[in-house]
Amino acid sequence: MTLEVHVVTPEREVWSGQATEVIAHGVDGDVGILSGHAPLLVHLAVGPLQIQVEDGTWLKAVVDGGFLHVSTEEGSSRVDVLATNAQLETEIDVPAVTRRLEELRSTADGADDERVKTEIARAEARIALSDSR
Amino acid sequence: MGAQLRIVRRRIRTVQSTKKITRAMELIASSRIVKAQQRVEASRPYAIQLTKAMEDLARQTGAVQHPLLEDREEPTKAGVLVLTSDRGLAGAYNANVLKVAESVIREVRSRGLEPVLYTIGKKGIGYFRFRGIPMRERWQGISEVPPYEEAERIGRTLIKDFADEEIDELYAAYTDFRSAFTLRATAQRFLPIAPEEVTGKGLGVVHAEYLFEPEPDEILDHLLPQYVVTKVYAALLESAASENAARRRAMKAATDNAEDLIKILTRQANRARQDEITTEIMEIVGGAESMAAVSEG
Repeated sequence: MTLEVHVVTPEREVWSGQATEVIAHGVDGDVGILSGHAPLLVHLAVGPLQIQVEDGTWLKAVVDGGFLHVSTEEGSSRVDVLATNAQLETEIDVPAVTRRLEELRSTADGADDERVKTEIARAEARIALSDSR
Repeated sequence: MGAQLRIVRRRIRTVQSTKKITRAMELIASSRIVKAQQRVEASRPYAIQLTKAMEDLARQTGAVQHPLLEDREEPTKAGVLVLTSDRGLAGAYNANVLKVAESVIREVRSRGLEPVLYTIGKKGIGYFRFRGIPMRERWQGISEVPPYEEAERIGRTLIKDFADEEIDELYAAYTDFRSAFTLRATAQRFLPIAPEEVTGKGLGVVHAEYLFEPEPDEILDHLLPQYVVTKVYAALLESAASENAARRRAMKAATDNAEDLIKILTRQANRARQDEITTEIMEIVGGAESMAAVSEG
């Protein structure tokens, strides 16, 4: 029994395939999904998304907030990750993100700009993901 | 060379260079239609799944209630979002969508509401500015290849204005891309969201064990604005594909016209050249004959 996983953003389908487990970062804490999970709708925070592919390896990605939707039909579970933006680990340009983060931190000193804060959080999530490998 | 021949040849050269330009624009538009269509296709899975998640939520919680879903009791202002292009040379593309926008504005006024304009694209901005119609917001430089971030920014602005009661309703006038040959300027209500859009067909199993994290109300607070943003993005993408389709059609017509014109002008040039030759021969023959007459005499 596997999960059918689709990671989509408004601009593209980031990844889709069969998986055995999905771990995502919800606003109220991490959620792990195995096959046969009850139907679920979670609001996702900016953070990592881990998918264990059928051969046992983990696929990592970063999600800039969104929703995770689990639907079960006739015994097969489907997981849809609806992200505003998402990148696979392999797609992240770490040096560029690091530079951008430094730039943001130096300009946003103490500023309460919501957009800058979000961008910093997004950059940090990407770097955290690349460090964890 | 005769004066008439020179003028005709000059016109042929002008038409030929115009034809080269329109032909190039036609080719560029063609390749952009394909890309724009791919972007429309790529955005569909997300929109479909988001709607599904919303329908699930609505079904599980029974009657959903949210300010974005409720008709205001005494609406006074209606927002009208108009999607036009930044560049012209796209046939009737902008004229058609502006016509729809005007009819929405008329309809809104007839109900005693004040229209509040949000305009995307230089053409629309110019149109309303020329008529002295004030615009609350305007955006440009995004119509041909609309980035998602802009759709999000526009969407959030509209939702904020709705929440702040700057507008009580929101309509969008844009061009629906049915196919490369069928473009339809159309108007749609974006806010408040019609509850039947959210609840779907209503048929489906209600799972007793359905889980929500956090509470359904809180999820809805994020899901509904995201739904509006997705609709704005879809309208932008449809309009971009339509703009390029309209431009290709207009440029193809211009290229064909140029070809016809070149054909006609070439004929005129040939006739003028032949006339010239005939006149010359006549002159020579006439001259020779008179010479012969003189020497015989």
